[in-house]
Amino acid sequence: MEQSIFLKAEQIVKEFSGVRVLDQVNFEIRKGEVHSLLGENGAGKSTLIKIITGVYRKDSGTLAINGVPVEINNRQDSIKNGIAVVYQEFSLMPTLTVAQNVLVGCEPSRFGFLDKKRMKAHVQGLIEEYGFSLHADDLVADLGIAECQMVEILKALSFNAELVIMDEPTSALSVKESEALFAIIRNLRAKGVSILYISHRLDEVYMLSDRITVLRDGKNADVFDKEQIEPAAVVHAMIGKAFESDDSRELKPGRGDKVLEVRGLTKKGVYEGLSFDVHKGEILGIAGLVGSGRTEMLRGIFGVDPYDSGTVMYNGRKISRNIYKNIRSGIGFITEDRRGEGFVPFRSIEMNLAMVNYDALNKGRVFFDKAKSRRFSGDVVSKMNIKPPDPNVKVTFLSGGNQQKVVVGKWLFRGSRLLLVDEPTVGVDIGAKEEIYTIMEKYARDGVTIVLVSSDNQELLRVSTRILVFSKGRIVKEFDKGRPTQKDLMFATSNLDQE
Amino acid sequence: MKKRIRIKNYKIFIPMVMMLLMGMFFSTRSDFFLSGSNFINILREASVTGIVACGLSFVMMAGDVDLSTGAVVGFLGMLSANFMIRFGLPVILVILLVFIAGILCGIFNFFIIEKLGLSAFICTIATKNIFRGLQLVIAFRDNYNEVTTVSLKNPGFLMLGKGIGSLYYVTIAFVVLVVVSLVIQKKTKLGLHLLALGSNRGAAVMSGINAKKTRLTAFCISGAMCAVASIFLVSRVGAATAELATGLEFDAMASVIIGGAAMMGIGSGDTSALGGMVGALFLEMLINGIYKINMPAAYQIVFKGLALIVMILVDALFVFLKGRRAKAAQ
Amino acid sequence: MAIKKSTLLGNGRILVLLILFVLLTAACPTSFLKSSNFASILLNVSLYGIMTCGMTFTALISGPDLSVGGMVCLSSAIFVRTIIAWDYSMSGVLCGFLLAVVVAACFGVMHGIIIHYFNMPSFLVTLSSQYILFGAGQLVTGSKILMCTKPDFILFLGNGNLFGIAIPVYVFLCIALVLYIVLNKTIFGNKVYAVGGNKKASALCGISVPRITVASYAISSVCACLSGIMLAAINQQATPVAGTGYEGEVLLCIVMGGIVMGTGIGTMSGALYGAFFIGILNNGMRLLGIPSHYQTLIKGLLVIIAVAFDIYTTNKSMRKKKGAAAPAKNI
Repeated sequence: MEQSIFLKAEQIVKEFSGVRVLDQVNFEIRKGEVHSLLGENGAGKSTLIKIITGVYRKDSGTLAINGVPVEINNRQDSIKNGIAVVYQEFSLMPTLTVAQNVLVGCEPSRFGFLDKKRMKAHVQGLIEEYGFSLHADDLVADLGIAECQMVEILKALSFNAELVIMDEPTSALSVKESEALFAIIRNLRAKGVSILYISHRLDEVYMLSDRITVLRDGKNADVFDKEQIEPAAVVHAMIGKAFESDDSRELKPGRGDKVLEVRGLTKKGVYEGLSFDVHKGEILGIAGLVGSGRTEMLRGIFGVDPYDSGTVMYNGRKISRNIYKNIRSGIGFITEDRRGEGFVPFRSIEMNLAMVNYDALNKGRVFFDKAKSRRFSGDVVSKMNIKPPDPNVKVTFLSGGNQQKVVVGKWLFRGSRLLLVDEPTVGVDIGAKEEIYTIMEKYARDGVTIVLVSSDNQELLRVSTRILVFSKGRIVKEFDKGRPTQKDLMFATSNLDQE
Repeated sequence: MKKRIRIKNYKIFIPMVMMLLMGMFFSTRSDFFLSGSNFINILREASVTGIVACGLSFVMMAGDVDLSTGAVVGFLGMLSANFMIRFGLPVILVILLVFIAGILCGIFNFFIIEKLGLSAFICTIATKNIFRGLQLVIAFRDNYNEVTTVSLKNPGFLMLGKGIGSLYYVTIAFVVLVVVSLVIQKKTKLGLHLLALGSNRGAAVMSGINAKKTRLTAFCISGAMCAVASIFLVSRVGAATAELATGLEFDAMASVIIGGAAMMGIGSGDTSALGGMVGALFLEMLINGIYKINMPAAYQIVFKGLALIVMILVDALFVFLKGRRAKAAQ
Repeated sequence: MAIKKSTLLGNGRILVLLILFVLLTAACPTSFLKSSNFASILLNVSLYGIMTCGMTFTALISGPDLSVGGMVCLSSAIFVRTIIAWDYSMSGVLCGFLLAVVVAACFGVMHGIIIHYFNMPSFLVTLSSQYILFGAGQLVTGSKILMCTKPDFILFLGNGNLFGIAIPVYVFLCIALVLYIVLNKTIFGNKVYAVGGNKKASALCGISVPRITVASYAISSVCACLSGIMLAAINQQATPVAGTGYEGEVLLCIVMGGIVMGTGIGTMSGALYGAFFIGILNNGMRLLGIPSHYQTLIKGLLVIIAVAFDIYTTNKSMRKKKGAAAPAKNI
């Protein structure tokens, strides 16, 4: 059945600072289809989306809506052409109602006076038509995440969007809520609305999609129709031929002293029944998709967020729930949100390095030992190759990679024996990445234990001595021998069975 | 999700209940409290603050603050006195000019905030100084160049300070302005946009709301309300003094806050002109009552502060409870 | 390339003060360059300076402490009232001092607790507290002026002289020195900057954000208390309206000093510069016979100019560093 094409993008090129992020990419979405866009991080997915939604301007290529060539230079153009986006971060106004949130900016009105009845009727009508479990008068502040997402979808529908782009929509949803979302998606499709679905959860993608487009390294890799979807082939398209086993290490089962023993760690709605051991000198990689509970677990262990039940033993003793005590007993934590939680932007490298080391940098417990701190930071800067090599530079002026080195450096030079690391190389250039890996490996050899959470499977395979796979808050698989491939990890994280 | 009809503006009931309790307390301790004329008094005294609070509620709804309102009222009051005495302009013209001046003051305030890109808090403190300075620049001086108070003799103008029978004009104006403000806030596009900006400015802008225009409008409304308040204040006092409306900005802000403005990001669904009115009445009843039962005037100030802190804590409590409820619902 | 912004402005600041000095000397040479005038400036700066140094802590972490004016009122009232109650004896002085400080510390701690645990904006909480403090001060003085010309220690403290310089100035310099050392050379001071710059990151490093917050507000309140005691000693009385408008002046000093509220940007030397600048400016304007309303006007304009200039220079240095502006917030 030949369906008409809603959006057609041809030969799209986009460059940033001389790097081709999108290279002659072709892409099309039919009316009333669920189309998934797959690709590794850095494959160009989000850039393509941003071009379609008007955030970026394409360098060359054409876009056509319903056969008519269009230029999309800003958000307004995108909206005018019937394209809507539902992001992971919601842009809702909590103290307003659902109806107000949906219609604000284009409210029906007469001489400036709101036509509240029409507003409510319009929104309520949409709610009932698509079967959302909402009410037009609900206050957004009272809604849960799944319902907020529904409001975002409603916003899209209210201006008759013909294409709704959904970016990782299920990462924060429970299983039940995800089911509800899938029902809504099917409903939309039945009514002729196209859905562009972006997700790393391959099981969902395979179940929902009518077609899948795979991007790799900024180029088209393949397009699959529903009947052609075969997990191995899709993953192959995403990864390409290069990474079968070259860069990964030989995994080994855990041996030696148990540094960390986790039993039955549970936090309702986030992770459940986590039980595993971490041995001295291991680099335990934790694979999984965004929203599978890994970051939350790490934060729970370190003492940042509380958990509901379970025990954590550190070196044979119950771990403290107090961050300061944990730091003192040798645990370090590297947050995934470098900019927001990793460093103090307008303070120097030296001061940032000192933040965790006051017990070593004090004179008489009250005064700050500036001389020692200066030596210390100079040491770190040179050993970790931080550029510019001046400890007085304010960290906000460093590149992402160097900032991360500062974040990592303060723990390593504290002599922390257990490092909980969360996404250490996001936004870090290749050179700095390698340096950070080398540093981690060196410290592991010296007996430092590392728990590494990462969404970059390549990174996990490169660095880890053992890998646990998380999915939806549970540990689903352990890799502790041989050399698994990216394909293996991908299957495991998506909860699929490899035949 | 429960489909209950939520009572919005629940926070406004707290000061109302407090007023009721206060009223009962004061009336038992004093014979003069529970009389019609006293209530008219309370209403009248609260009116000027209330009108300013009304205008301020627009600004606070959108997530800004305005600490210069008192200075603006003082400046405009002095301006009106100047127009009448130095220029001998007719009352109607004076009122019109002051009104326009008020709007200009609002524009100035917003201009500074936009240009500096700083928080409205710091900027309006600076503009407060400027307006106060201006007020004294155009003040009347005696032979020794000291500021004096010149009484206004304009009967038409002074009449505004009175009323029909026992209902003062200023109170009528207050009530009318509150009603008009409420209509604007709850039933117009502008009101919704202001609320949206206060709720989540980024999201509001993304929805296509023109933040600049909307906030500017709020400041202009505030300025205009200040103008109205200043006219009534000066006509009641009979002169424009150097200390005119000192401290008014804090009382106006306290009124809006006590009337329910949430502090988790100043703008919220509970900021409204009605809240401003309730808050102003509350404050005035407090002051009046303490005076009537012969407690030292200092207690008025103490309880003002306590009322503010109580409302702040109440707000925090509600936020906390909401968080709990949301967690339990998961 | 180390960021020299603060040192740049540091050098610039001395320059500004010098220019101000020169201008005023030229404008009114006889009245400005008198030792009695300098003494007057120093006294003024001392009073506001103590509060400015104290408020620097809260300004770095979360925001202004608007209760300082009321605290001055209450603490001077407590101080004098206790002295009177103890028959103007030295033990009365000691007692009054301790009582005032303890009360101030309690208020400061309360501010810190509410602001941190209830996540409330600083200006609002301290503003509400200001009402309570002024009211309490009026109650303690019984709405009248309380005199305390005895014991002699008070006279010495308020109007005494050591090598030609008034005692209050020494007190101020001591406090300023101590607080300077605390902020710049102690671990606590380090933590203040950390918390001000990024609360979440500080918490993740094991720094106790509530403790730092509470301590900062306590410092600010105690400093205001000390100012109040100095004021009482200087005037040998406690009045029910003491401290009115002080928070505005102190805020001005802090903003002029380049401290950006709640961001951890700013230095104690900047605050001191701000205090001196405003002090000299006040004095100069008074000597020049500039009517008080113009003074208020000028001060208001100054804040705007100073801040605008600060923003301009920051943007310039930022642009130089970052080169092509990254599309920071993609909406």
